[in-house]
Amino acid sequence: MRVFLVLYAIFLTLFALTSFISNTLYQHGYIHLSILFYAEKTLLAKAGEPPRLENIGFVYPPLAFLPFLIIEDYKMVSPLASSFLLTVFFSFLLKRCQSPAYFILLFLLLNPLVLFLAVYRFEVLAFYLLLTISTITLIIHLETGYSLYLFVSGFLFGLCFFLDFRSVFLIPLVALVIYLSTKEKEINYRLALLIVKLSPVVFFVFAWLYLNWIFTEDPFNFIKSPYSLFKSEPLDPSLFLIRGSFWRSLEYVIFRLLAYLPIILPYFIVLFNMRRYRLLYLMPVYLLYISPMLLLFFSVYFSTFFPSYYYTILFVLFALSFQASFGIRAGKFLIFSFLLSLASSWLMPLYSKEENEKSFVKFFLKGETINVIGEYERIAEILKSQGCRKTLIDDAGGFPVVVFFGNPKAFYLPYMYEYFTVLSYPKAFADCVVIDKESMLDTVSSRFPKARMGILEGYSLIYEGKRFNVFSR
Amino acid sequence: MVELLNKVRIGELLLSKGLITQEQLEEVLEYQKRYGGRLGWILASLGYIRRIDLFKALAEHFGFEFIQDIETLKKLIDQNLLTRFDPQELAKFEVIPAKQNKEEITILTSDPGSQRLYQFLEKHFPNMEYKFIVITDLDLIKLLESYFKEKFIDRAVHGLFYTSPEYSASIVFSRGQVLVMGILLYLSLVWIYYDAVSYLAFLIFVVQVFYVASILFKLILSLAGAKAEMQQFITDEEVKALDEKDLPVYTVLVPVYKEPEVIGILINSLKKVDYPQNKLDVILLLEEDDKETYEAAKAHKPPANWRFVIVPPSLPKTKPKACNYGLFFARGKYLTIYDAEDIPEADQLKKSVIAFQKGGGEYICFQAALNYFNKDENFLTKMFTLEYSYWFDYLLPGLYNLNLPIPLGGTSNHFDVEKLREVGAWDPFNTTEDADLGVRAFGKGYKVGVINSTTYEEANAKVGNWIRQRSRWIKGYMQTWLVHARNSRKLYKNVGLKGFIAFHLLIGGTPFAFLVNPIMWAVFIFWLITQTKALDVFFPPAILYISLFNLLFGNFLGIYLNMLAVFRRKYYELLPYALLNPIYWMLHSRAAYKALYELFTKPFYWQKTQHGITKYKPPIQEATQ
Repeated sequence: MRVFLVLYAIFLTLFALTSFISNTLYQHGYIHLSILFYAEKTLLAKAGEPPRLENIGFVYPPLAFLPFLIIEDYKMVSPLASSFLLTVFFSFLLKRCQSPAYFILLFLLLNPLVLFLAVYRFEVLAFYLLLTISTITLIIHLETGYSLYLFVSGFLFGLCFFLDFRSVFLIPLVALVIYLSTKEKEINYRLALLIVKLSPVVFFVFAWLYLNWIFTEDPFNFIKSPYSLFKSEPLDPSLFLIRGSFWRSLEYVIFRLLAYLPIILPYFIVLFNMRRYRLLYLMPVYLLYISPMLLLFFSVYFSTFFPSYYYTILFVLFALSFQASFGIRAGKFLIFSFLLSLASSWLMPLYSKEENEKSFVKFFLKGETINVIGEYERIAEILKSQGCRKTLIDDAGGFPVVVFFGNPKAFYLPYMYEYFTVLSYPKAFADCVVIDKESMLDTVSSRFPKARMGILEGYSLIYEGKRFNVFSR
Repeated sequence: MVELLNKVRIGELLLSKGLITQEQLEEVLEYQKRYGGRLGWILASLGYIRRIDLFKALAEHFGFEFIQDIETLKKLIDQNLLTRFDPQELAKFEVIPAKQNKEEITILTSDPGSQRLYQFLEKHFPNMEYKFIVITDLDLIKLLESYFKEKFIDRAVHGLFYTSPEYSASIVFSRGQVLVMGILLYLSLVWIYYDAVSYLAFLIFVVQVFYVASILFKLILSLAGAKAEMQQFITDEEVKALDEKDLPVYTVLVPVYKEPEVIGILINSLKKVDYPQNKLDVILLLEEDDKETYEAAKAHKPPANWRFVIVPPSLPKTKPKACNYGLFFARGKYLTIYDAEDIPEADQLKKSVIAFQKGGGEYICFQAALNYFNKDENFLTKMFTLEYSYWFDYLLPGLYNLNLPIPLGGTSNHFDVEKLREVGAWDPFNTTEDADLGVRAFGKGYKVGVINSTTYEEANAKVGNWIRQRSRWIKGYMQTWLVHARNSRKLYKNVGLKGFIAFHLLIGGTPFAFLVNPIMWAVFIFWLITQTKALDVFFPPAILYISLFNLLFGNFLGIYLNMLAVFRRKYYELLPYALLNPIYWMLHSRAAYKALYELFTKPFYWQKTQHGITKYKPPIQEATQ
């Protein structure tokens, strides 16, 4: 009962903190657009025309959408989900160790990158946490033989696929680890271990292919879609050049790790200290420990990597969990490295290419933030005030407008069967048209290039913003 | 207390008659030092003397007359006197008050000189002179049967109905249930008449919601059960630390019917069980028309602590009825049931005693795990082993850890005899009497636990036999659900919300799932082949999503959880077979429809499982060491 109360108190503290941050930043005009993206997709699923789950698109990992289906207030979704996940993670650590678990919690709470993920990118945080727990539980199973740990490990590894498709890159590593760590064991056990550990992820991949097939008629839609992660343009142009090259990817990874070093120093120190740990003469645990690096490598190799600093959190979580779970002694140097990591987490993101984490940290340090929602809110207000009953918009870039407007039925959107009919002759259907001037993917502006300059036949320009133009009939 | 006329000790008496050797006497004296108990009984239990010699020697030892001939004994008995007594009490105290004069009463007993005999006499015949006649324990049973046969059988059959009619499955559907079914049927017809599509969509919705609940329930149970792997409820140290002198008499009921091939397995494994033989009270329950098993059992020359009780013919001809009958003659403080082909682990009885001691009087029963010695025989035995390993190693410990009602398994459930009698023992009309008893006992405020010990059985290796057995079990689950659902308010009050939900999902949900599974699979396969849009109207978005979730994740989770089963027992080679569960589930569905049919046509019919058909030799040695 006491443990339950402690966990409940931690959950409330985490939720109070993250929701406070989320609300404060929102009042300053900032929210991570991914939140609005998920919010819009679930709005379409719940109140679209017709309201169908397939409106979420089946391109992005589905677990990110799940909490939005349950929680109405999109600002609260990530804080709530993250608080829950961090509490689960904490309870897992608490069973493995007592006081270090509290230290870890404090360390995570003071880390701006963890807070950033908790407030806005719960799906990324969830992926990191589940991957970490999945790895630790596999090792515990190898040590103790308890089936519960293997079951949890396999299942969480499977769920990772629904949070980040790149988790499949780790399948060969896991298979290798199982092969190496069970060399002395009978073949049946080795096969059993392999099946239990990997069957969820394999099954979930096929389930996802099946869902893609029945809802989009193409099982590989999530890969082929222009909005797919695998088709996205790298934020770092240099990644374009190294796609598919082993050595150049390796070079890039090394460079990245060096760039991350102040934050991920504890990761390497734990790696070094692990040689004292009883199991660590075994190569397999080292291999599991390098999962974050391997994942980074594959992400770079397939050009799906975003050079953000929040990726370091996966390294930090591995370091913390291995240190705490397997009783690796926290020497002076390790404590120093954790402090350095914490300090660096406050400073390095200020130079990040990922604008969101940069803005987030900047807000804490300087009280400054960028207003990302102003234009969208303004457009939504204009559409309402103009009495637009039906608006043509491509929500590839205009999704926040749909969210702020609140009623997806008032839009012609690409998921609708009649969208391309409307697009071919909007005058006959739409009262208003919104075009994205910046995005090359915007189907409306591609269809009517002059609209970027404020000219759209049959419509008059009623708003000309930095990024969008709005026309009314 | 009786004054011994013959001061010669029983060991010396038997030695002087040449019935035992000096070595045997010395061995038994050592045995007595270690385990306690009466010397004569130890000798008989170890098979050194015959039953008849023991009772003759006892009579001589105490200076009483010994009579063996039943007809002579019958002539001694005053029926008017005898029928004033409760036969169950007479069986319990092993005494028959034969006739009474003004000052003297003639007592027939198979337990001369015992304290309980004098307790009985002081209660019923204080301040009288007693004339004792020693008879064998088997003759005592025969005599009681000849005078109280009708009463015994009536109680064995209707005992539960007389005390708690609401718990008896003798009434398959209560009036209320028939009424509810009638109303539901009427409303269904009306609904179908007006809008058949929405009616079917609603039915699909109900089924899908049930699937979701069932999946979550199984997941929670499995996780809670998997934790049990990390804690040994009874440790080997505790077993070693047990003072064997304090061990109580343990009754083992062995209900058999036409199983001459396998009866030897249990006799041999019970000989090897780590429990003082003189404290084992084994009752072989035979049916009157089953001469083969009787002869086979006799041929194994079981020692004197084995008693053969012939259950008089009556309907229903079920195992629980036989067990109720055997319970009248149980001497033990604790009792367990083994099937003829069972091979319990050697320390199981000791673990049970420790479990009861640790339980502090709250527990009525501890269930040991069941598993199979012929798991590798064929596909069916492999699947059956997987299923049992999951059920007994994960689900039951899960129920136990979450403090939920536990449906007991067919054998190896260890009871506190007094509590068992108090709750009305087994329902002879229920074809899964143990599952029913587990729920009933929980409802009456007793706990049911699990112990970390295994009994190995013979897995059904033939499909037809398997379906017969499974249909009986599923029918029993249906009966149990119907019995306890009759008064849902009472059930809720007795078992709480958690127990109430668990009961419906486990007892009601199991047959329900097997019945609806093939329908839902057929719909899916039909859609997969035809890609028809005609089914869309029955699957509006919400139902479609839940259905997809169940189709993909429900089935996967069912298989994945089943994979867990191999780890506790290191049956790794069976793991790939978990992937073939859908085929096994289809067999369940086949059995479920047979069960449903029989529930209406012959609800109390006991589909007999044929044992002894395995090609595998029972590993008695390994299993009991």
